[in-house]
Amino acid sequence: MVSIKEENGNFVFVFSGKLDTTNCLQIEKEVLAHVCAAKGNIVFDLGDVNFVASIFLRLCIQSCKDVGATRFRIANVTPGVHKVFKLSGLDSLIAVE
Amino acid sequence: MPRVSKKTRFGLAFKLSFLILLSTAAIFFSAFAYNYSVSRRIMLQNVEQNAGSLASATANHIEEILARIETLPTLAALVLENQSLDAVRLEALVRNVVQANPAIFGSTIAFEPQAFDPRSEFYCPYAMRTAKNIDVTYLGGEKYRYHNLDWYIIPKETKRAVWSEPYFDEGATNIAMATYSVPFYREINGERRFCGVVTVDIALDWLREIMDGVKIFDSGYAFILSENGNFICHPEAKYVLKESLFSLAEEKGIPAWREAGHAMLDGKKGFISIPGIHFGRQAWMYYSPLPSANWSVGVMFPDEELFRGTRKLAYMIAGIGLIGFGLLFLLVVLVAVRITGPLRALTSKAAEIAKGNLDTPLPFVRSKDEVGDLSHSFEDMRTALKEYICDLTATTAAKERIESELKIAHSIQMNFLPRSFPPFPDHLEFRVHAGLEPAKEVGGDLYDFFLLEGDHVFFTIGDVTDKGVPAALFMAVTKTLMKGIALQTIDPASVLGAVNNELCQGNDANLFVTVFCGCLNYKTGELRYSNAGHNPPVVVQPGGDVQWLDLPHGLVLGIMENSPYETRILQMQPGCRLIAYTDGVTEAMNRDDEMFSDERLFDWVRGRGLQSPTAIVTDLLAAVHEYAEGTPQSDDITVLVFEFTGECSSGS
Repeated sequence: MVSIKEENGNFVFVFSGKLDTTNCLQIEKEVLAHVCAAKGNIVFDLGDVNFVASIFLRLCIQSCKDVGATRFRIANVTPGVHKVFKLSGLDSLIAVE
Repeated sequence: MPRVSKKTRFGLAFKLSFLILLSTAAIFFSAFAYNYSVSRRIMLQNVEQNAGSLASATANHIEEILARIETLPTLAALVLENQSLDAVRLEALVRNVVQANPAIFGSTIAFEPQAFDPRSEFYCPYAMRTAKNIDVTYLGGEKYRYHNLDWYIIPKETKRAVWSEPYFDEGATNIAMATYSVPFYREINGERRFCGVVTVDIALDWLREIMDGVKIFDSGYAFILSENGNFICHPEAKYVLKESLFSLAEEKGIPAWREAGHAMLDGKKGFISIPGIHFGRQAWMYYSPLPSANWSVGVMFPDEELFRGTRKLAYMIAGIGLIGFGLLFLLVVLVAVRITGPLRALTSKAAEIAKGNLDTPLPFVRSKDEVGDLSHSFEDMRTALKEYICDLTATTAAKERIESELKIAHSIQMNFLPRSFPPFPDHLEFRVHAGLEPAKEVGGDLYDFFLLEGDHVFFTIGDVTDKGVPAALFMAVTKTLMKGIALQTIDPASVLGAVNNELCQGNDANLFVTVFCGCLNYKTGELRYSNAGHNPPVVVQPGGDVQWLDLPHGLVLGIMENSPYETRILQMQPGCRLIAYTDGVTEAMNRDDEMFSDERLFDWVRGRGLQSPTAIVTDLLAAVHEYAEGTPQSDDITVLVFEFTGECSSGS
């Protein structure tokens, strides 16, 4: 569901599949722990994600708040997922590419 | 409940004992049967030999005696052939013959008519042993025409010496007799001519003695058959000379005797099993010929006595076997009971434990074998199970408490929402209906509507992230704040801004809520609305046109203080409907993991959007359920429908 790699000083969390409530609750603690421990920029790569539940947005908000908006961004979003970020207004808070 | 069979159950000890004893019995009985049959066969072979020897020896003995007797008349016949004796010398000859052998009872020389004395038809001196002397009388005459009698005519016709059929001498002696007749011849005119016969009569009582000497087993006996099948000698005196094997066969209806009689008269030897004569049981018989007299000797003994020894041995073996079997039985039962005893104790206790009585103490098994291991494992299992059940009971109780608290929270949450429809029966200017289908867990959807001053009705629909008690509390706070602030400021964007700032206070868990809210002037149809990250509602125009409501950008509430919100205006025409919902509708999954989606919602509204708000709410919820095909609902599903009718209120 999620794998972490280091790329040019950035910590890239590569998510895949369907990030519904159940899945998010499973990975939430692990992801946050890694986010807090990481030095450098945090990137959530959602290239392989076709659905995000609102609880994933909370994970993004938490991560963004933990490391600061400048060090956090979300990459490779599909149009469907982008729509969710836009709809919730989070695109104004978090860098979504 | 453990399954308890009503049928009789056989325990392990029984099965073990039964199988061991059964197989032992099978082995014992096959060995026994084999032994018995082989002993029987060997016994039979030996007996055949013995009986054969006995019969042959008896026959030879008799034959020898007969041969000695035959010599005398044969010699006398030779004398008569070569010499012409006068009357005195003839008388001396017959007297000498009788004297020569104590078995000889009488002797005669019988001449052909005119052969001794041309004047006389009969000439026949007969010497007979009396108590003291040997007397000579002369036979023949009108009353005793001996030329026609068997003892005379048979040797004459057959031209050889013959033994007569034994007969009773009905005179003084009353004993069985047989006559040996030897023909004699003379040369007369160069021609060998028959002149008469020399006979000896012998009593057969000595035969009886010989035969009585033959002993075989307890009641076995020997007998002699004559040429005609008559009994010459038999322990049953009434048969002697009165019955034959054939007459007995006829009388008793036993054909086997007739066949045996034929075989004996044919001069054969044999060993056969036939119904016993004289003792009414199955018997064995050996028979052997006595050629000189054409007689046959038979030796007969009962089957039962033949095999008495074998049977005795068999009984002995069977007895020993049975005793051994009994001992083995006791031993096997003892061993089986010892082995299975602990197992049985364990089984009964296990059944008790299976009923749920985990405090049942297990029997202590000292043996270090499988049963011991089983018992120890069982004890471990019982302890573990007991602990587990204790834990489970505690956990279940805790879980039940939490669940019941959740249920209460859920119920409080539901009661929190306006649920009586129509909510404003006096206001015909608008109609509103809402429905919330909670997911199994406590969710965070909310809706609300209330009247404000100046002909306004304010409504809210929202969705808190997360589930459970935190979401429910957050939802309650949001709803309360929304109403509280809306009563102070009528502008939706200002309400959202104020509520957002309140929610951001101390929101460490980063819970957030998406809210769409609006304020309708029900006199004019002007709808002022604002949005905080919520799904766009659908607008159904009076003519049936359907479109997504154009939403201003706005961040969800509770994340960032002082987020900007914008109020937009929609001028609703009479008959215009606004359908707001939460993502529980569009993200409802079917069995193939496909979502209901915005598109399906849009299409549904296009078909059914002109119904009354109540019908839209009911039907849309039903449509979502139908789509889910029984897939468990993971999120609350909420639909809120507003219709501006434009009619005048009854009260105004």
